[in-house]
Amino acid sequence: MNQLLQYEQLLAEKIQQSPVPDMADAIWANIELELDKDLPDNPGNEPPSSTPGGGGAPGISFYFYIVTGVVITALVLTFVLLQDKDKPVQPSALPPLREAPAENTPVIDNSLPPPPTRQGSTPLIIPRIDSSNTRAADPIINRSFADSLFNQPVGRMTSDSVTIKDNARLGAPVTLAIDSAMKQKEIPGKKPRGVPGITDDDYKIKSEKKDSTKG
Amino acid sequence: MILEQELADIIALCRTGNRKAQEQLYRQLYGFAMAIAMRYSRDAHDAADIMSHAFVKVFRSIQSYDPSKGSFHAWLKKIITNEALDHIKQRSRFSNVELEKAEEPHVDNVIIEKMDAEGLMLLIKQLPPATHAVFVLYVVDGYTHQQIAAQLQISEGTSKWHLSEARKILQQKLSNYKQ
Repeated sequence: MNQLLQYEQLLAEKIQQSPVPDMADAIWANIELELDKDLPDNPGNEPPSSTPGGGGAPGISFYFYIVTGVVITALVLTFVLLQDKDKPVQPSALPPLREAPAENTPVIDNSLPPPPTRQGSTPLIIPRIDSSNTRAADPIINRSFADSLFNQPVGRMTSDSVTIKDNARLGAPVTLAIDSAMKQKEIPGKKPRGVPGITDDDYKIKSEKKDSTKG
Repeated sequence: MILEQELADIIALCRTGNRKAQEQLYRQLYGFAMAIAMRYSRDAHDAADIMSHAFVKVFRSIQSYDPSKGSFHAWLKKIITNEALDHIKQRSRFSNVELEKAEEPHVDNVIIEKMDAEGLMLLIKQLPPATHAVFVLYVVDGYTHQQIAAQLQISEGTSKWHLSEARKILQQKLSNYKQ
């Protein structure tokens, strides 16, 4: 027993009898919140953790939620991985297809020995035709005859012209053959093909019917 | 005033986690517990904080209560006092000054008799936190300096120094009150 001074005894008696503030409801609300953290799923009257000395151990529902979360996460990851595997290979990964070579690009025939080429140029196998004087539907004609045509100024062809007659004499059929090497793409601003003054009709052999009624 | 048997029945239900029994036990002992909390706290809100933490500990550790070792009131008082002292330790430091014997300044009893409990509580709350705790433990709750030293993890000399400081301060304040 402590040796208290007289006034201290009076003081202690009065303090022990002092009124307390009415905060029971507010304090209980805080207590209840803390106790609810210890409860399992069932908010009823299930007993809390029976650990002596207090302390809230997690209940079965806590571990259930953990396991469920892990399982769901694993399923989602598996689904995502499977989706990635099923995706086709993006065509963008492949190099883009190259376009067909231009018409005036020479074609290389590997069956024939390559002719001697100048530095930087592509070797030609097919007889090269001067691109400036070719037309899209030129007939197959003798090269020397073609040269003679292109090298001399020629007037308008008529049926009795030397050229037509020569053609008939040669018996070479006037056929249209399209050689891809000779085919030229018309480029705007370029010199027109063909011989000025000569049309396709000029190459047609026309037989004149003699009119017996005329004198 | 709750009967001992009724209290024992409520405690038995609280051991099963019955929420209604817990609330009933709390409301039955609210006045007793709150008075203890108010002695060690600076204000009502501080006391409410002490009460909340203390009763949560009571319900979580009620399985460890042994009626053969003492009354439930004594067990509850110990929990509340410990919680209150923990609050004081968090916000104050105890002096290392040693004192052989606490001083005993003279105070006129008439002054004490004239003052109401609320006024006296206000004077005590004006003491420094550590000195306040030692004074209440010693004067109001009857703890010895040895028990106080063990509770607060200080020496007995430090406990006596705090008691002396409390008496000197209260004497000065009561003298000013008289004037």
